[in-house]
Formats: sequence, structure tokens, C-alpha cells
Amino acid sequence: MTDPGTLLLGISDAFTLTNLLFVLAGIVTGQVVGAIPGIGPVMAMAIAIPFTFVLNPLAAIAFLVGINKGGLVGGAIPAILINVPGTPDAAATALDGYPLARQGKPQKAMKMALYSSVTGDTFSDVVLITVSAPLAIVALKMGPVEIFALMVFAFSIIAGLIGSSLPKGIAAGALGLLCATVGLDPEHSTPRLIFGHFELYDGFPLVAVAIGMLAVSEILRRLAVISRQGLPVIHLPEEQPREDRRVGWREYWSCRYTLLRGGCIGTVLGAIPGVGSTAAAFISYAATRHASREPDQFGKGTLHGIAATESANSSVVGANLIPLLTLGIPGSVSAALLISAFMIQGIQPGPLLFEEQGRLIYGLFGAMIMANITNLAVGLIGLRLWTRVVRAPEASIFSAALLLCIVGVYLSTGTLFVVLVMFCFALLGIVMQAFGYSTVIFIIAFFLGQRFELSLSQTLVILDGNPAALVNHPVALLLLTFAFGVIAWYGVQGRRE
Amino acid sequence: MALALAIFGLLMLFVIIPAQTEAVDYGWLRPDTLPVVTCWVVTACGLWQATLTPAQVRPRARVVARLLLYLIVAFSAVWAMTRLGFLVLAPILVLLLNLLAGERRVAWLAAQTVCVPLVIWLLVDVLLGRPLP
Repeated sequence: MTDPGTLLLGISDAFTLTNLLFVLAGIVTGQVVGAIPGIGPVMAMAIAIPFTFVLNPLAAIAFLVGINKGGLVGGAIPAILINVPGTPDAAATALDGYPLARQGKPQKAMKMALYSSVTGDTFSDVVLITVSAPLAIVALKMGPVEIFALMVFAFSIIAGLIGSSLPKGIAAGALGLLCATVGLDPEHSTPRLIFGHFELYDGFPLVAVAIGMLAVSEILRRLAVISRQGLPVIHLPEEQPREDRRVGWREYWSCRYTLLRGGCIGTVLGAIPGVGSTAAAFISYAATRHASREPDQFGKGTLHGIAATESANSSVVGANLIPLLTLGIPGSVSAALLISAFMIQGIQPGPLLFEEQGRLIYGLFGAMIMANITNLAVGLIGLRLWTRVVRAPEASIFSAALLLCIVGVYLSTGTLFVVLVMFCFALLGIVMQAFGYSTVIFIIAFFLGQRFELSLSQTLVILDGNPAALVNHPVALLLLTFAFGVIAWYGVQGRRE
Repeated sequence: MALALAIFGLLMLFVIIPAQTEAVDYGWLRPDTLPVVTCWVVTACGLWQATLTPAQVRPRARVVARLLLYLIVAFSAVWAMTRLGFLVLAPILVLLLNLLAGERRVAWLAAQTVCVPLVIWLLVDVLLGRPLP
């Protein structure tokens, strides 16, 4: 049970002027980069992580969480104004946001997206705060055998859900695991697959892998397909009736069930590793349309459509942290990036986090609530301003971003060799994306790889190499059965498709 | 891609892993156990994918060429940075990337070339007190 004193100390840590400034900086950065199609909060987080190691852990994590939350609000802006989602999460928002903007109500659409996003986000944060500590207590009772089985189960879910096909999903995971084996092996401490480079004794740095595969590969791909033609944009009219510019309380309240449904869908899907906010947004949109008395209004600019998608995609953010904080398993790429930020600060995510870093975790919860309020305030003030960055020149943005990636990776490791490693992973990321292999599952598998091998080694010692001894570990046996069931089910589904 | 993946797996299994891991004859999990298992999985998945669906991805030659060009420029710039330093190479890299991306406005190019490396230098070297390459 958490000590109330730790809880209060953690929350009081969060509500300081310094943290508020870092949350504010994160939110503003997130909303701006989210509004630029192609950059998005994940790339911004990847670039920002190496720069956060000079901050204290709470300020660093709060800044990154701010980028993630702000990015989801910013991503809706180009989706509504130019029908090009700033982030994949906002793709469903364009279905009703763009038609509403074309009716001459772009500000109304953007404000509904903002209110829905903040509502969904706050809902999932409350769930996270409520369930994560009890879940961590349960997780602490698990031994190496159960943790190994849990990882196999997580891999099976991620492989089936993220990959465009089961063999591609499994192959991406296996490649991630293979890359995680580079360096000293955990049982005998002998070097493996390092090709004479002593810099690789500790394996590939997670920062280089994540930035290379997520940011640099996307920057290079965007530079290669850059278009000199500007994007058509809906300009915000100066003179508009007040009701076309704002969302009234009655309009917001009429969407309460839609918002609640979106929040629930996003939270449940967010807590499952690998599902992601894009799927949550589309599922929520489909469920809302199915439940609506006026389904024919969907796709024509209804506020319910925007509320459904934005509340669902934003509620994934908080829920993603449930497996991360309780089990140390990242539920998404942004969660994997947060793990690397934790590790830069010398903190190992997992069930022990609540015991060893309780004050930090409750501080993080406080910062998340503060970020939601800041997100709303910044959005109300800045929405009109961020619409200008939708048409920012791509060449300038991506060349600056590439330089920041180089400097960021150099700063976190202090060697240019790792920057070259980052480019190798960028190339791998480009090839994998081109052929439909998930880079997300690769990164999650890469991150889990070392822990997986260690828990496998411990499991073999505990079971004395005898799989039949698993009967003494019913929880592990159940998890492994579920894992094989999930893989078999996806195999059958894939064959039918 | 599927066949290439299978060939990569076999190459790792029979050439690279034996050469790059130490043979140990004790313990439950030998250094090469997980690499070997993952490579068998990669090979099997490559073969599985190859038999299930035909390759449908046909990358555009122009885009691939431009991608490789950007990668070579960036890679070379980082390699040169180890010898000449950030302050010399960063403006050249920014200018080259902008030119390759089709930016031709002289004032914009000049501003980018000077401002981006300068802001990074101020942020990292002056504000954070960390050395640049």
C-alpha cells in the first residue's frame, strides 16, 4: 500500500513553477509539431529525449508527456483544415472535422476536438491513477517464471495486432529480439555480434534505435518525396457568427455519452499493448455511429463524430502508461520512448517503480493532470496561431529536425559511432516500412529483449530445464496457454482473410 | 523482401552467429541460443510470407534514389564531423539538405544555414554546457 505521505509529497513536487513551465513547453511543442503533417509528437519526443537528461526526472518526464498530449490536440488541426491528419491518430477526426470546416465552421470543429481530447485524456488519467498502484502490487508477487510467461503473452498480442500480417508481425518482433542480443550475454557475459566494436558491449543504445527508426527514417522519407506544391488550406474567416466559432455548453453536454464511450474504448484499448490510438479512434467512431439515432449525419460534419474520435485517441495516452508503470511493458511507441527517458535518468520502469520511486510516479500523475489543464488553456489561446504552421516549408523543418537528431544522439552517448548506428537503423526502418513490417513491434521487442533473455535464463534455472515443472506455476502456465491461443487465433484469422 | 529475409536468417545462422559468438558448454542459456532461435524464426517467417502472398511492393526508382542520396549525404556529414567538427559541418549539411529538397530562395537558405546550427550551438554548448562533436 502506498504511503499517503509519499503520495502527497509526489503531488506537491508536480505543482511547482518549474514543472509547470516544462509542462507548458511540452504542450506548446506538442501542439505545434502535431499541427505539422509528418512530424507529430512521436518524432518530437524522440528528438527531445536526449536533451532531457540535464533536467530532473519529473521535469523531463512531464515535458515529454506534455509533448505527447499536446501533439494529439495539434494533430487534429490539419485534419480539420486541410483533410490531412497531422498524426495518424487524427485520421478519423478528418471524417467529420473537415466537412464541418468546409461548412464555414473550422473554429467550432477545432474547439470540439480540443474539448473532446482533454475530456478523454482526463478520463484515462483518472483510470491510470486509480488502477496502476493496485496492479503493481499484484505484479510484485510475480516471479521470473510468471514474468517470462507474461512477456511471451505480451509478444503474442503485439505480434498479432500491430503487424499487417502475422508472419510480418512475428518477423519484426524476432528482428527486434535479435538486435537486442547484440552485446554481452546475460548469463556468461561474453560478447556477441559486436564485430569488434567495443562500443557495442552494452548493446545498441535504445535512443539511437528509437530515433533512427522513428524520426530519421521518417525525415529521410519525407525529404525524398517532398512536394513543391503547397497544401490547400481553409483560411479562418475574420468575421463569423459567434455560434459558428464556439462550442456551447449545451452542444458539449449533448455529446456526453459519446465522450464517455470514446474515453472507455480508448482506455481499454490503450491498456492493451500494441493496439494504439488510431484503432481506438476508428472503433469509437464506428461504435458512436452505430449507436446514433442519426447515423446518416456522420461524415457530414457532426460534432459527435469529432467527439468520438478525439476522446478515444487521447484517452489512449494515459492508459498506455498502465502496462508501462505496472509491468515495465510499453504499450505504444510513445510509451517505449518514455521508457528510454526513464532509463536516461537511471530509473528502471516496472512494478518496483511504485516502491522505489513512488514520489516520482505520484509527481508524474500530478503533472499529467496539470498537463490536461494546460493543454486546454494553450489550445484555446493558440489554435488560431497553430493553423499557420500547417503550411510551413518542409525542407526547412526536416533539415533542422535531422540536425537535432544527430546532436541529440551524440549528446546521449558522447560518440559519433552511435550516430552512424542511428543511420543504419533509419535505413532498416525505411526498408521495413516500405515492405509493411512494423517498426513499432520491432522497437518494443528490442526494448523487452534483454529482460526477456534474463527472465528466460532465470526460468530455466528455476524449472531446472524441465518444462513439465511449469505445473507448479499455474499463472505462468495460464499466460503461456493464452499466448499460444492468441497466436493460433490470429493464424486462423489471417488464413480466412 | 520475404526471400531476402529468409536468406538473411540463414546467413546469420550458418556464417555470422558461429563467427561472432563464443562457444560455451555450460549453463542453460548459451550465448548463441537466443540469436539462433530468433534467426530460425526470421527464416521461417520469411519463407512463410513468401509462400502466402506474392511481393506487391514496387518502390519508385526516383524516390529510392533520392532516399539513398539523402542517406549518403547525412552519413558522410557525420563521418566528416568526426574530423572537422560540428560548427564546420552543420551549416554545410543544412545547406545541402535544403538545396536537395528544392529550396532556392537565397535569403531563406542563408538564414537557415546560419540560424539552425547557431541555435543548436547556443542551446547545447552555451545553455546546457555540453560539448558538440
